Amino acid sequence: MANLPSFALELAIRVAILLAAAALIFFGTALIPGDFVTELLGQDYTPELAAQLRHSLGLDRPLPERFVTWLFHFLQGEFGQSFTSRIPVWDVVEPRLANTLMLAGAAICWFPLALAAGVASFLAPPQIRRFLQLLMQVVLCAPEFLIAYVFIYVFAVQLQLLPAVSRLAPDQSLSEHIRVLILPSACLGVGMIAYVGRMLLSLLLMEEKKDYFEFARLRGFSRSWIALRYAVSAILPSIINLLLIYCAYLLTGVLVIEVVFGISGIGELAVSSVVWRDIPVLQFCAVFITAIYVGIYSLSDLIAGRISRRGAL
Amino acid sequence: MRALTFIGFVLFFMVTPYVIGTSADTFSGGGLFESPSPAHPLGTDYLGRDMLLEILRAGSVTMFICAAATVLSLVCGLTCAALSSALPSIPGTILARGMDALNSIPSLIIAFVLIAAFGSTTTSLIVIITVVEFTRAYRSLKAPVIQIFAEPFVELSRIRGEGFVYLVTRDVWPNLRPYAAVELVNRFVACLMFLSAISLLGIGVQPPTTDWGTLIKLNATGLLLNSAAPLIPGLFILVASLLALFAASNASRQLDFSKS
Repeated sequence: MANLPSFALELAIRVAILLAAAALIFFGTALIPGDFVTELLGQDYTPELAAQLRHSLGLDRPLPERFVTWLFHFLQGEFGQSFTSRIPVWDVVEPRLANTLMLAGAAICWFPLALAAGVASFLAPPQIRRFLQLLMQVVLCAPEFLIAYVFIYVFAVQLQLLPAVSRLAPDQSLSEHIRVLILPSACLGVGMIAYVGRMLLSLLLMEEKKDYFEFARLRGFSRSWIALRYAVSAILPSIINLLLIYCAYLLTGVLVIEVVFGISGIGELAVSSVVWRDIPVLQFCAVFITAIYVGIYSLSDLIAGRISRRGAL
Repeated sequence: MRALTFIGFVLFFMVTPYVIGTSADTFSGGGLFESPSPAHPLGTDYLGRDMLLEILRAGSVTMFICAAATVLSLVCGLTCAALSSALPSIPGTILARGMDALNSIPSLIIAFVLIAAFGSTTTSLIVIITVVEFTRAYRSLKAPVIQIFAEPFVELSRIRGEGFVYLVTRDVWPNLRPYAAVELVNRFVACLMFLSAISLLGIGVQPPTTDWGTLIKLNATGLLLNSAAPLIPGLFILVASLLALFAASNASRQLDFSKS
């Protein structure tokens, strides 16, 4: 517990960074030129009505004051009302959040396969390994939406195995959910397999150069046995870190994949809030996603620190 | 050689539309989503226009925005890296922490907020991509810049009384060129991916101007009509990023060679 002050300091820094990020997001959205009050009123526009609406939305106050009020309301869980649908932001977000979480969860299910890919390419003969490395490189260079469209073209249009548009509804059965989620989650999963596989391969190749690996081999253990039994557990902190970094990547990857597959989730909501200039919804989505992002990275630092410290003892 | 291939690829797409002079309203009279044929080597798009011409036209927009954003983000990132290692400790720390805060917001979210604020004109897209990417350039150039600033010859120039601009342009920059070249290529790929992603989401380049991402989005309906049209711009993006990658793997060696 001697590390408690430094831990608290670390936590304080993260919170400060998050606050600064929230401020950047707030002032970014406050920069919006043109009066969105006029846009909001449309044909009903009269100067009096505009002034009234601006007052009721609190837009006539100075900017720093608005930021503080906004932050306090936000921390109390009052996220304001959507400009376009006129219902509380949380009611707009909640049903979509479930869809996004389902997609992200389905994408994480591919992680074991990524681990297997890394270990398999380490154990494969050199020519095959080089081929696999090249393949992973190509996949990494391909943007996820290209992978998504290729998958739709092959599996939904040509082979007609899976639906091209993924409609998620609460009344669907579990098997229907899975069927709908296979294709979008696979698009994210393929990128993950390539990224994690490559990182794992280079980590294992580095382990192979270490003394214990050489020693175990001289003792007569096979290469695959050493890799699975010792090397994988030696790089476990890095693997957990990879998983967390990938979760952070999923956050933004999911936004694009949602739009491609027409899943109504947070990403689709955020994009439409940009198009319709629905500021409260946009602010909520931005701060929410950023908070998760910062949280995941803090957790990854924490876990990496903890485990390697325990290993050092 | 690899670097030249990549630069050639970029320049080709930048220049071609001015040479062949395509414009948005020339219709080739083809049907919708035709398969490739001698008349239309890559088939036709969702309005029956020739896909190859569309790709070339969109390619110049893509390459122009990406190249501008890449250069800008590299310059900004480099300036901030130099500033943060040359400034006294308190302003330097504030700069570094500000970068951390900007870095902790996912790039798409920054784009959402700024696009809602500034719209999606070409200029604002360049600025927005620069804002997203320069923190990345800063992060990877910071370590070499600090290292070079600690070298004795920089200390010597400083004692001689040279100004900040001299230190950066004469002492730091020549030693930084290999890093900057690799970073330039990496930033280009990141800009390309990012621009394509926001265009695909429908908040990037707006029709009738198109880039490769917008082309994918506009032709997406073709997939359900059994046409591969939306995949073609995607393949061009893939080829561009692969070429860039091969160039990057060679870039630092090339520059070291040309320097000696």
